[in-house]
Amino acid sequence: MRTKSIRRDVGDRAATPVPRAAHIRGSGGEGVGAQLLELQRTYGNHQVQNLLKRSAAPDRNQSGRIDASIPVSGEEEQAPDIGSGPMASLERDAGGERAAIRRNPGGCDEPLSMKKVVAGALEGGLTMKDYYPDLDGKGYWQHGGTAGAFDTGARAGANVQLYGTIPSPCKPSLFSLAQTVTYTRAIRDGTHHPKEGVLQDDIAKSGRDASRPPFRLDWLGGGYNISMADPPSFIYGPKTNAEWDRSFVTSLKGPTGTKSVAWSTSIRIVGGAVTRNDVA
Amino acid sequence: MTDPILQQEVDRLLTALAAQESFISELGTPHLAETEELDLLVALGLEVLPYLIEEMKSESPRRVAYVALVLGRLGDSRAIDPLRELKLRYQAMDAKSEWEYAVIGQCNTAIELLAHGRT
Repeated sequence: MRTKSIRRDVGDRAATPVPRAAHIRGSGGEGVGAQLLELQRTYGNHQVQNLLKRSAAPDRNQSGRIDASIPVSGEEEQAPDIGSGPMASLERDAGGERAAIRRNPGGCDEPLSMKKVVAGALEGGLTMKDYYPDLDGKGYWQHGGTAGAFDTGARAGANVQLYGTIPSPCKPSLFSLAQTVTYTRAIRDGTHHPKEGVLQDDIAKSGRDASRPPFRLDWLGGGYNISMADPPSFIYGPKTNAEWDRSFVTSLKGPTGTKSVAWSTSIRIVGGAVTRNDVA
Repeated sequence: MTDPILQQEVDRLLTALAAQESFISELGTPHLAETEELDLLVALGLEVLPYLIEEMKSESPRRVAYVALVLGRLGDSRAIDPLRELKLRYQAMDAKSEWEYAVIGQCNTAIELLAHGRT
């Protein structure tokens, strides 16, 4: 298949959290056409067109430009043998727009990896505001572009980004995010929290839709990345005493396999002063 | 039949709960406070069910979130359909606040508890 290389200067950051197609550069472009189709199906053509036009900050440490190779509409394409795997349904769903899809030798049954970002810049050029636009300016976090602990003086917490990578030709909608939390130590002003030691479905309790933006934000780069973020926090006052430890497990579930990553936060507050605020 | 005293007590406890500070937050959604008022409301039992369902119409998402929490803990499966309707109504809202997400989250937890006995 022939592809057309697109390089655009990075413009303003997207006003609405759409996935950033950072580093879209398929070898020969085979996976990218399918990914763009999938992105169009998930987020709508308008959003994807905006994405390609604006392509905000894929990597702020580099050139500020993105490279993309996408199938050229109308040019010759050969529909490869895609078998009966997940991509076959994508091909059928494309309804005549033949995406150049090659069977992934690694399979689409499970993610390749699941990782946490607990320090440094968030991956994909994203910020906490992208994941939680409703919380912007409400003091739910500090330094929204980077992971790690924060203390606003009234709220102690940490920004954490979690992302899984799937083989780039796979259908992203086959993969879903999950997270559990256990309060391993939960004492506030001498009172134990009733959920201490109880495993909880964190995403269900959040009421947020983990299947779509802004909660779930995807980008391309080293595979197809599916991400979420969490700014768990604890509000305290001038007299608060607390020991608050949380253990999280965040997972990306595929059709038959799951990849998970464990992370934790630990907060100690003595007489209204934060004496420990760790994330790992 | 309406019991004005019971209705007044439900109102008083919900008002107290909605005024509580939420000191924990995860995934951008505040957690509801576990307080004495919450225990008292649950202890009133199934007689308060119709009042709680009526309270779903409240314009305060904080108040409604506690309604959903209590309905789950009361353990009566008759609350499942009203909770599903409540969840759909909040899901359909544009530009939701964190407390509106909390309502949806409490509905999720309550429905799961009532339907399957787990959270």
